[in-house]
Amino acid sequence: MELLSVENVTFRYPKASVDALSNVSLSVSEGQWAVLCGLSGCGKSTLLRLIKREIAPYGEASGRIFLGYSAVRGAKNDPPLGDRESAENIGIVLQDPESQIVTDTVWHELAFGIENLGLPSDRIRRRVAEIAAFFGMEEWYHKKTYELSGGQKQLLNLASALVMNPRLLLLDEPTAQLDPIAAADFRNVLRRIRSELGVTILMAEHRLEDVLPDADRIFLMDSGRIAAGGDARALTSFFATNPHPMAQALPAATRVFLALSGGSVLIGGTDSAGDTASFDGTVPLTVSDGRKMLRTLVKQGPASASAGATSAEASETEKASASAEDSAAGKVAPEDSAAGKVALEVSGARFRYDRLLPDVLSGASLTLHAGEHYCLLGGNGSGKTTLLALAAGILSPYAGSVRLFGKKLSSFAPGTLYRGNLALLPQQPRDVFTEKTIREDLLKAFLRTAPDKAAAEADMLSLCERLRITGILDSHPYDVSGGELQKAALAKVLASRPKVLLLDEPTKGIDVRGKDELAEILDGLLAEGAAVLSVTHDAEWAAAHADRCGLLFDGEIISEAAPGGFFDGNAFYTTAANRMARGILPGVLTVSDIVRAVPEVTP
Amino acid sequence: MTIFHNRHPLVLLALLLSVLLPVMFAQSPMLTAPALLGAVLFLAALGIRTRAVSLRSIFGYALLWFLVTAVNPLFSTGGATPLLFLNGRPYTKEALLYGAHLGALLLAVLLWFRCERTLVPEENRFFLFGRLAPKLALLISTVLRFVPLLRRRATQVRAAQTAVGVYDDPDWLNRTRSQMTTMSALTTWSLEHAIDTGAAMKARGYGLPGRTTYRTCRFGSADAALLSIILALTAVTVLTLARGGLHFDWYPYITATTPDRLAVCGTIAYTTLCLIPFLSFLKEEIRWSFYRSKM
Amino acid sequence: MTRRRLTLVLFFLLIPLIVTGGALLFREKYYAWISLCVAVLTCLPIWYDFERRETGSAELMVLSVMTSLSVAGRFLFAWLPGFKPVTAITVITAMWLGAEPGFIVGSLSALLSNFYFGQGPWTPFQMFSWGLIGGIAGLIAKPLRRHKLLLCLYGVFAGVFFSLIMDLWSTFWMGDGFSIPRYLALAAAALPTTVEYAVSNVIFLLALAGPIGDKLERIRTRYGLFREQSM
Repeated sequence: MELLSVENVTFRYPKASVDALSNVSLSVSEGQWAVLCGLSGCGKSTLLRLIKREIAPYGEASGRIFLGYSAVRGAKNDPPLGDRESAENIGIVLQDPESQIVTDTVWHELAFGIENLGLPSDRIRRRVAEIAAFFGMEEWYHKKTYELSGGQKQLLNLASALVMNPRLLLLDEPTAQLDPIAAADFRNVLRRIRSELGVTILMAEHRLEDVLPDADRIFLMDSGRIAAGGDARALTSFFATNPHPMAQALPAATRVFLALSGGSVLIGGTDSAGDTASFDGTVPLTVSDGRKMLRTLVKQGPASASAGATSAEASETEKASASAEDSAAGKVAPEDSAAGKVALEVSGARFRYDRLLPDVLSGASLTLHAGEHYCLLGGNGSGKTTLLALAAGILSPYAGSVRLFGKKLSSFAPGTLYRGNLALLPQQPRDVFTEKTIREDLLKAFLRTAPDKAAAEADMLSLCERLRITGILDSHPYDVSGGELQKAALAKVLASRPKVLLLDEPTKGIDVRGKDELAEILDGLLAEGAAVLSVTHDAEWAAAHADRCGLLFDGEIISEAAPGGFFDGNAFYTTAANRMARGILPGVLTVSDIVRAVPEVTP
Repeated sequence: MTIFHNRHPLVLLALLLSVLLPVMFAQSPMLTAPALLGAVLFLAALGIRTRAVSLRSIFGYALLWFLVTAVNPLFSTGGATPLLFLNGRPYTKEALLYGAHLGALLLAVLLWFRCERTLVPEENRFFLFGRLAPKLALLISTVLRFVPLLRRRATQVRAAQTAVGVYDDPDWLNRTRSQMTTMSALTTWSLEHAIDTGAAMKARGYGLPGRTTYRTCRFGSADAALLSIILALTAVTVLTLARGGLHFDWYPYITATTPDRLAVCGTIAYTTLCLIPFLSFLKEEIRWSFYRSKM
Repeated sequence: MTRRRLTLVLFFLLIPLIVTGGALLFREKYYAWISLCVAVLTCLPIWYDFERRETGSAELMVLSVMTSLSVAGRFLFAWLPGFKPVTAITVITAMWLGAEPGFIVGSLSALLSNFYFGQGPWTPFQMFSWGLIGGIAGLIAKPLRRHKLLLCLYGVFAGVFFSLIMDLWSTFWMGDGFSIPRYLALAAAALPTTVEYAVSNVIFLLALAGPIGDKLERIRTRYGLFREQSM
């Protein structure tokens, strides 16, 4: 039975010249997990908000939306969905974990929704107890909501939506602001919700690699239209014939498959009988599927490669990292970058937030050269952001030192450190904006370095053209997409012409196109001799764009190498492509590395 | 920790009002002394138990008391026994003693508010409020969430502003200006945040008729018993006050009416009232040490 | 219906009873008692009206945010004693959102910030003063928005008003009965603080009225909030 059906929905925001949604139709059956994917601004969120009538955006809408037989929006004679039914039956979790929390304690937050429904207290207590048990929240049930971590906050939002017993759960990029571990936890809970509670899920997401294996149906949206719909395999074959930026967001295995097969079924399934894990020739969605595919493909090639998984692995790692430098992605070897001038040097930095608290950083050292892009990776709470704050001079270490071009940060005269030397792009790009429009904000920043207003304006415009953000200059900083805001913030940061640029989680919440653009901008800066230090969770991005990577663990940088050696040496903290090809193809980091390597080994 | 953790918030409110109102408005040392004693005993016992007595706050209270004591004679020239003359104005013994009493009274009130914070679990504090004014109570709950959030956010915004080099001059003018900019940026962020939170509230059915509350506090027989004790003691105190039994004159000479039997009863009743938190603490201590010995 | 009747009983029977009863009981300090009653009783009807009125969730959250900003602002500027943005935020809220929101934000800011900075007998008077400062600003919102000079004058007035009310309370509470010389002496002693309040109010209003006003205006038009308040 169709639980949700959207029929010919068209929507236009006030004063907009084009429709945000045009003639969208889709349906989701009871118990399905459906994914709505597309680049940011394609209309995913607008559609979700139209389905959840209470938070529908203002604007002109037409078309019909049904939940079961009741109309969320419909013609006069359709049986309407009541306000109470809408609140009860449709739950929604939005992107920002913070802003959806209403009250100050976890228990009150859970109760808030059912309190609104007007249930008697004993029934509220029972429902809250049930949901807290289902989520394993007993330990933080009495906590204050502001004490929770980002992942816990988003789980709380999910629990608060589920406590209403919804039939349909809408999720708008719920993991975009979470780190990978918290995001995986969140998806695990979603899996349980689907399988144990049978709740129907419609999720908007632009990172397909994590949700594709779970999705029953995927709808690809493009500029307010549904471009394709179907299961993962149907979507993959759509991408094979229709080039689309979202194809880059597919899981690594699927991307390899797509590149090698052109979308049709790969020749496979010809394994000998003894092989339990055989590749059936259909679209692989996970790393393990991908490994099966690669094994099958590489089987006929040089025997050493396929046997590598067992005994030879340890010794092979060295070889692999050595070969990685020349074979993989053509990355600069560390020796080359070491030749560049030392731009920023953190040596033996120790830091704690309070005398009585443990060290966050216990002797972290890092050297950044001019023209080098260094990516610092590490788990949650490993001190990455703290290290960045030390490097930016916002915090200072209690032991050890931070030097910029050989000079201690503290010995820079006031007003010189952040002029032409050092700049930090914070995790929340919004934080750098204070004015009504992006233009005013940028102009203010450029006036600090330019001799007069005309020069500042000229400088600003030329930078904005380079970043392709001239179109949004007159917008309010909160009215543009995440990627655009990121670039605008970068423009403000670059106004002081820094020689060292520090980036905190630059790819968080940004779609594939935004990531590519960011990489292009950074490449331009690096070519001009700037040094870039970015802190990230995004192994794929680091593998593709860093010159050197470091892993921060327990307050220290415990390994440091060019991406080739770095990721190939890691077993878990590495790219999906590397995990897929480990022991099958040596020194592989990215999907294109695999694609390049496979034809060499297949006959 | 104390008996009040399990009591209905109404009982505590009754206790607070019946301790605070007489002591604040009757200005009799016969009331101030027990009120101060009750609060200090309870807070000290609690402080010893939880090892959370800060010397700084003790010093702060002492300083406050000293200031009020010393300053009062400067404003109040009543009293018949001048100690010294300042610019021709008498600095009298009575005014000094009155100041000391006033200081003690202020301390008693402040300390009782501190007792209230530890006596009642935070979740119950707004319970009565939530019954009478659910919307205001919800508003307060959201503010209590926002304030720590905004403070954390303010440091982040300031760091961001610093590192793009907006304000890197350390003088006070710039510091003030940068705080203003932070306030402004914080406003933008939090107003947008408010819109999102508003949407999340609506999505979860806020505004539907017939809202109920999760938290229920049942008014049980133990509550009734304690409340009747409090009311009875208060009645005796009020009766004494109404008959002028605890009347105390500070000016021109310090004179107290000779206590009759009623005044003695009133003082005993009020003292008992003030000792309720401490006594309940003691009772819990004893109960738990017995309980533990049985385990 | 019973709830309404209960409220009426409360308003017309219980409150006069409490006020006169207290005044008779606390003969020595009945000025202080009556002033406390006035401070609390001014807040009650406005809170009651707010409670009964239907407020959208987003509007409620905006009020919450403004209150939180003025409370958090006290922390932000805690390094400058006496320099607090509560008055300015209250006035700005009233200027753009109306008199009642102004009163609510002002009175709640006082109540809630004292949870962090210490509750005391002064809390009701701060609630009363800040509430009234917001309420009055809401009534003259239009000219305040138009004339910078008027806004500055209002900032000075608010500072003086706040200080005088607090001095009044101190006088009532310190002495037995009210004496004008003592009030004047207290007010004179508090003059530096009064001046600081007035100056800081003007600084805050000049620095924040523009930017915060723009933001309130933006959410009013973009999300259609606080429509029923007269502008």
